[in-house]
Amino acid sequence: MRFSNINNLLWILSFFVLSLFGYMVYSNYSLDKAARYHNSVHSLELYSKEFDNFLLTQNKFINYDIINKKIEKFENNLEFLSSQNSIKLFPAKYAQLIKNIKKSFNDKEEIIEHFKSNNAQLLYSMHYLFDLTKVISKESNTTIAKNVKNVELNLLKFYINPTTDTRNITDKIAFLENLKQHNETLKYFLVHSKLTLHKIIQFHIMKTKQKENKLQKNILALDAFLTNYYEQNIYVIKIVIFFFVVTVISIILLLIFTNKKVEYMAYHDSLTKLANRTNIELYLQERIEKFNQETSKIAVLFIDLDRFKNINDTLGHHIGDALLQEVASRIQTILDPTDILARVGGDEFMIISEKRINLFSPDKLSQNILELFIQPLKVQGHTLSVTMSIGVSIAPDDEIDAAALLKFADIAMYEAKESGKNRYRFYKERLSILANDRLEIEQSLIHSLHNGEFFMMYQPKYDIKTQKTIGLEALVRWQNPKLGFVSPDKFIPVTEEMGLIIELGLFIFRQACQDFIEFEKHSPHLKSISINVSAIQFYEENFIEKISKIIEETGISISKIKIEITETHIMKNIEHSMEILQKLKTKGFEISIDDFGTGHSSLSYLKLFPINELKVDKSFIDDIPQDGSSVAIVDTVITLSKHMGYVNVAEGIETKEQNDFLLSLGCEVGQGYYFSKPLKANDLIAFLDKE
Amino acid sequence: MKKLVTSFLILSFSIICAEPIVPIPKSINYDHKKAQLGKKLFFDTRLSKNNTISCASCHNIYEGGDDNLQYSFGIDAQEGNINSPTVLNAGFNFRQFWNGGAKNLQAQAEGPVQNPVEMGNNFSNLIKTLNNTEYKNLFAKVYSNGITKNNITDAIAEYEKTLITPDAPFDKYLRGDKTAINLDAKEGYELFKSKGCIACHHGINIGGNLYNKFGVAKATHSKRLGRYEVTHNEDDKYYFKVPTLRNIAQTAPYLHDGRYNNLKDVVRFMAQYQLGRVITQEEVRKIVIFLKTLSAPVKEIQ
Repeated sequence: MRFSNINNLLWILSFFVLSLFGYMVYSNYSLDKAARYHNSVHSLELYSKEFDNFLLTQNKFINYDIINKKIEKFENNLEFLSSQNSIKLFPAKYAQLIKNIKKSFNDKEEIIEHFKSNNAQLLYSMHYLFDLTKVISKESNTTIAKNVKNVELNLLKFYINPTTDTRNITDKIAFLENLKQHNETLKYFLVHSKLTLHKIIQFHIMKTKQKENKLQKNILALDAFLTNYYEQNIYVIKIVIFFFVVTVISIILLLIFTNKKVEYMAYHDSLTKLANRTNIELYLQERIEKFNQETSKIAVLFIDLDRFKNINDTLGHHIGDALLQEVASRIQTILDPTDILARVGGDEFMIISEKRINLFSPDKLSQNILELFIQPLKVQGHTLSVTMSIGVSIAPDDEIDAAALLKFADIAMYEAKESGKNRYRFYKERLSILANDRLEIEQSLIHSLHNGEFFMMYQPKYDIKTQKTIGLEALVRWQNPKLGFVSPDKFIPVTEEMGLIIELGLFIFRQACQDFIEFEKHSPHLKSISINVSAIQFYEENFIEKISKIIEETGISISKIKIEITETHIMKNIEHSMEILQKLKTKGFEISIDDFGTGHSSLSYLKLFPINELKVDKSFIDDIPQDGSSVAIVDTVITLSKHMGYVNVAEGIETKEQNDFLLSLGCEVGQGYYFSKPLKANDLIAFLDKE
Repeated sequence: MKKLVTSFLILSFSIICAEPIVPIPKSINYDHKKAQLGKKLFFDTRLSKNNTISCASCHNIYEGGDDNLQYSFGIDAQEGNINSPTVLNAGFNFRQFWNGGAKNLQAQAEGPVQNPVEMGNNFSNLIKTLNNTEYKNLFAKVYSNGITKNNITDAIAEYEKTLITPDAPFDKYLRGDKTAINLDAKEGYELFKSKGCIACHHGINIGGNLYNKFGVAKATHSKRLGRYEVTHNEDDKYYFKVPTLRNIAQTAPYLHDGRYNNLKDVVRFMAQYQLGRVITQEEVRKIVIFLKTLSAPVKEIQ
């Protein structure tokens, strides 16, 4: 989604929210109104009940003002409910319901009016009747009095229970009317008896009518309608509120997403969608802090396209951009999911590859990348041949610092360019310590030994056949509080120049001997400990005395110690070397030639040396079994060793393939990450115990 | 036991429990502007077709609120066919007109304007007329929609609402002034209740709150059919709105057809035709004295 689209969507959603809000307010207003209508209808209901109560009033004087007031209020409520505004507010059914109420109210009103009239008439007639009965009882004969009383009583009875038979009353009235002597009082009595009887009958009829209470029913119907309407609206309101909430949440999510997008944009290259420099630097920083130096390594590959500027200048930026995209996607195809590819500049890419040590092969990765581009790229009809130069730096080998690693990778890349492009270079391989680095290291080294900054690591040497640890190589490591972990390649030359190597060498020797005695307890197969000795130490006059002293002190058996010395060193001063080696041999030390194959050894000299072991340099092992010449060299060295009676050791075995191949060549001893990386004393003990 | 029940019932038929007549309030709430406008309209002959008749022509508010004629005269000296009832305290009546044909004062006000034998006008004409007069502005001040039928009748009704007559001697008596009426009047009031008059003539307006038959006990030979004219219900024949007895001494001639000119006659008539009972001269005299205590001057609005 494009940014502008998100903005549009936000506008639309905001509009939606506003509409919903408006609708909610409006609905609430309507509901309020509906509630008012409801109240009005409730009043109608109440008044309607009062009307019924009124119609139940019996035999007493009623001030009609009160019922009239109620009728008026009922009418006012009904008028409000039936106003044009009200009718408009509700569905058509409402109008019909109102109409029904109006009609039944008119009927009800009529009944009330008749009740009022009848009640007034009955009231004064009966009242008069009682007076007349009293008078007649006094002045008339017993027959008349008796009958009059009877009529009075039966009228009362009839009034209370209008279902009783009235024949009794009419008979008595007829009897009295037929009497000859009519006085004025009796005449009035008869008039009012008949009137009363008539009124009572009328009341009865009215009450029968009243039973079918349409008004109340119709009001209840309207009430039900409004309740239903209200509830439906509440339901709608609920739905609206639901949508409102959903929309608001969407907006919030979208805003968050947009921010993510911004963040993404800030950390990603828009052209290739790869991480950008900021992103990859942060990532490297994070990994450097978190990765386990013991088990993993991180390679930083700095890739720069060769002669990219030419493409850009001759074919245009759009081709250049397309090419970059193509390059990016091609590189992506060979990367592991854990490898991160970033575009860090115009034609610069970077890969961070973190691997477990046994799987770590930045050289292979670099080579693969270079090979990816043997096939030319087809970009918008142009066939473009692309090469690149790759610089590699490695943590923790080179440095355990993100900025330094980036810098080193950059330096290595320039080195690759200078060496002729279309190749890769490791920082470590070529770069001796820069002058300023050396100064730093020198200064740091002064107190390092005293401060206990050096520690030992031991890499197992194993019997390739049995895959058991048979020896160890003691390796010194330097962890400086200021410089961090400094590679031996860097600091050993400095210690040599400073002369510090003498002291350091003794430290190494002593430490290795002490540790070995401990290690022996954990492994029956362990036969030797190899200790590297620098040429400087070699030339020191009482070198042998010093180490002999250490051997005495530690109690290690001399035969277990292999002095490792590089081929290069020996060849620098063959005579002196020969002399020392002889001395060592005589003492009982074993001699191992390190990095064999790199020092231009003359076989004729070699023959003269008292050597026990040859170590084939890692650089040859790296390329087997693929590289024919490497295979040939390794094969030759192994054969040579056998003929000369040396133990041959292959250094830097990293894969099973190499291991197996070396086995097939008859190589006896191996060393390398394939079997074990260098281990600290504790870890080694655990390793041996496991064996 | 039987006797006890009977006497209880008889007792309960006795007419009076609480005081059946309520005094008129000393003042009422009304919209002053509307009432002022209504007053002007009430006295304005321009309401009639030929500019001769106003409401006040038949309802003299200073002389009992009617015109003291059996039947009123409308435009062109046409005689009406019913006695004009008083406009005073008319707001307290539950319905208007003798037959209850108007629900309230405003509905009533429509009637005479359009009645051919009264003002003989119609509202579209009246509105047109009034719009050419000062009323255009006057209405505009009170009603946002100017002169309309509803506004004309509303203003008149608002004015009529103010036409109340508080402080009648009898009301003073009811409020606690025992000297406000004399002994005869007091006895008259007792007779008024015990004879049964009170059954219909009670409440704030001493009448005007129900319909009753004209001639309950005897036929009255009325030409007009009363409520039947409105409902066309047989039961409503000769049922008229019971008129108020307030200011009754000033509103002769009496009854809807103005058949009696003095109170004595009409009281006697009522006793015979409505109550169907004997009444003595002395009783009539006392009742009339009581009736005369029901009069009071109209309270004029400012």
